[in-house]
Amino acid sequence: MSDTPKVIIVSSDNGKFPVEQKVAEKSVLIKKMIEDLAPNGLEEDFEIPTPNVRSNVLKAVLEWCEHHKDTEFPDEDDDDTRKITPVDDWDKNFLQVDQEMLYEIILAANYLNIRPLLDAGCKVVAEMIRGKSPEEIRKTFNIVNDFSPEEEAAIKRENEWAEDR
Amino acid sequence: MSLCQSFADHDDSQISHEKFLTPAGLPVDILCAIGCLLNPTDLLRLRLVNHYFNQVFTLDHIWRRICVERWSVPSDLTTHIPPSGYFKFFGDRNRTDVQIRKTISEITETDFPYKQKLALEFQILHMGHLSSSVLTSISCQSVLEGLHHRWIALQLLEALRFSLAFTMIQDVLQDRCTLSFEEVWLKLSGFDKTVNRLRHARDDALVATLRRYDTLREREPPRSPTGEALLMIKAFFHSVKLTRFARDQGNSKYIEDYFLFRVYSGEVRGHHLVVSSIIEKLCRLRAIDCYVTQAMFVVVDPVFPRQRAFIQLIRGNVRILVHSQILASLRRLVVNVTENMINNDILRPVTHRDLVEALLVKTHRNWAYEHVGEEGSRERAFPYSLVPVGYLHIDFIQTVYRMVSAPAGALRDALLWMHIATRVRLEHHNLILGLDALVPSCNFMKDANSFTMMSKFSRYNLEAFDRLTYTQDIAWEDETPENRVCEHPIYRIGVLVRHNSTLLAYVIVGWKIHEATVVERSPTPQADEVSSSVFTQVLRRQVFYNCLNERGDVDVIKQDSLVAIRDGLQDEVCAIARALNIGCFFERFSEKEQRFIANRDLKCLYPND
Repeated sequence: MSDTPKVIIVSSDNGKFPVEQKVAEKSVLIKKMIEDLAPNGLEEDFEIPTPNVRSNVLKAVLEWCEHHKDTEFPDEDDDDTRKITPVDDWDKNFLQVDQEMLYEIILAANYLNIRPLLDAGCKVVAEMIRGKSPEEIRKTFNIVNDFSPEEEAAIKRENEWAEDR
Repeated sequence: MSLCQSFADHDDSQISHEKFLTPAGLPVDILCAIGCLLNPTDLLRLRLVNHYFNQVFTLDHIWRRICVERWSVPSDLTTHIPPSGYFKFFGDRNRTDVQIRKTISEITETDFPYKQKLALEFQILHMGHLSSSVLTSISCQSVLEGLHHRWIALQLLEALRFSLAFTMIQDVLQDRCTLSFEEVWLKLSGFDKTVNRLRHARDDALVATLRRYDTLREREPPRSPTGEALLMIKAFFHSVKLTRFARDQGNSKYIEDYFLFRVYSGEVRGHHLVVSSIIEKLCRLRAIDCYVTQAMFVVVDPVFPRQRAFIQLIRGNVRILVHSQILASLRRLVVNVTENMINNDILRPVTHRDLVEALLVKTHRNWAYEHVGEEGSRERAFPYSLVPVGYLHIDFIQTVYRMVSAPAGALRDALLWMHIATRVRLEHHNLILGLDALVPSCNFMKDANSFTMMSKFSRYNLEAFDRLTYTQDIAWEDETPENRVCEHPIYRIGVLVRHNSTLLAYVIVGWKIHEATVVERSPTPQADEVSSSVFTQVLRRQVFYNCLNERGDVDVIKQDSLVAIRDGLQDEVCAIARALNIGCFFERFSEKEQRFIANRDLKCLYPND
């Protein structure tokens, strides 16, 4: 196993994560990079810096990639299927992390272009938002209300128009 | 080396926690992706969280998705954004929906003041009038149908995915459109490719057909849509004779498409007999091609002006094709309204599901496919789904009747409202005939209220409530030459008359001469090619009477439809004299003159009568 060249992903804080090419290529960004820089296939270990991703996030993301290395995901362009597919149990469990970590995973997935992970993350966040009042949303996400009462009233008026009742 | 080992080398403590992430710190594109997973209610709440969220969750990207999902706005409508943005668009459109829903939910069986409800309905329709954002939705079908060239509007609508449509709709609405109908349609629907190929094809058959058509047209410009249709058919047959186009599948497809398009776009518009014979001929030709066996599919929109032509065709085992998009919206509307009516106890079906299924799924979709079955039609992957349009109505009525245990009156009201709310063209005569056939004990045709109301809705000109009545009368009119058009009034004020179709008694309280379309029989040289007789629509001045009926309503009816009541007056006089507002028009009934004597006000209005 050790003779096949690895892809070594380097985190922002210089953590080095050697993984199989197949696992690394879950990231479209990395896949494209390898295609561009080593068009004839990997001959030796290949180092890729990811200056936006911290070690522990990268570790988590790669854990996800490892788990899903053989999973077939629905077509990228098929928005509807992607939207309605529920988050699978493993992913749900995987994303049971504190909020900050969750956002970092989402950002990393976005940066590394790992669409299924990004989708799963978004779905989890959407789930947290669903059915909550604005106040509850602020509380959940620790957001400060920066509206003046007038502004708030104006938006409420606009909303009224679009409400179903 | 396993992953775990490699991870173990790293110490988490090195990582800085300087930036604290909240969803508010997420970039716009990710928030957008999250927004796309939420429903409007949640999005509206999110807008209230803070400034940043307000901006993000009002973005077109998110609301576009919602609009697309909810109203089937063509999803590739990416090139054009409604000027006010999708959020605003959603709001406007939603308001209309809500109001329509509200209106429908207000209806009860016992309290059914038609006129107020109708007025409200009109208001709702007008709200969306000319608002460009509403035009982007499929529901603007009803708005656009109010236009004179409603089939253009429909085409435009269907072709919305082409950004051009927006400017064109504006042009049409503001009378700035200089293109011919055909050009507009071709331009919008990507038909231009086909036509270019038609025009520049090396193939002789195609060129011959079109050239022939052009020369015929030049030599003898058609004076009416019927003439145009005949011309086209002439050219078509000519070239068919010349080249036996059937040899080449590709070519025949273009020709068919071309002519079907003409039928579709309403250019073949003449009398229903002409239209049906044209279609029959086309049908026969296609049968020779073995293109589609047994039946011919006519591409037709549900507001095709001559629905009767298609009813006739259906009887002749010719099936009708509706563009799937129109059909889908039609179906959706019917489902929605049925639901509403059921929720409000207007319809009482066995179960809701049964009803909807029977109405929409079983009856139509499968029916059509069962009957097609032949290889050719499927392989061609026609972008249309099949439905027997004419059957829709009768089937609809029958199914509703079977499923519903409501009294006949309630059924009538329900259907009427269905008709109003869905704009499903339950043509009033079909509807009435259907109901009469089903419910022999009630003669709806003679039920003045339902008759006049339904008549009003058989026309789409929504602005002129009064003019509606004129046109309805013509639509109802039998197109026979016996109905002479007369330019001078022959009935005096106060005379009792009877409508020759509805048999209702009226007393005349006024008259006016108007221009209106009539259909008349005109033998023409072309006639023998298609049908033994040809009918044309002409604009004629004719007399219309304001007629007071026993309920105290004044209807406007044209002279041809009325016959004077000569004997057995007594009953009618009594009935009409009971109308509350009779005093507004007349002083008394004169036995000697056998008519009502006008009061002073009415005499002032018609001093010469």
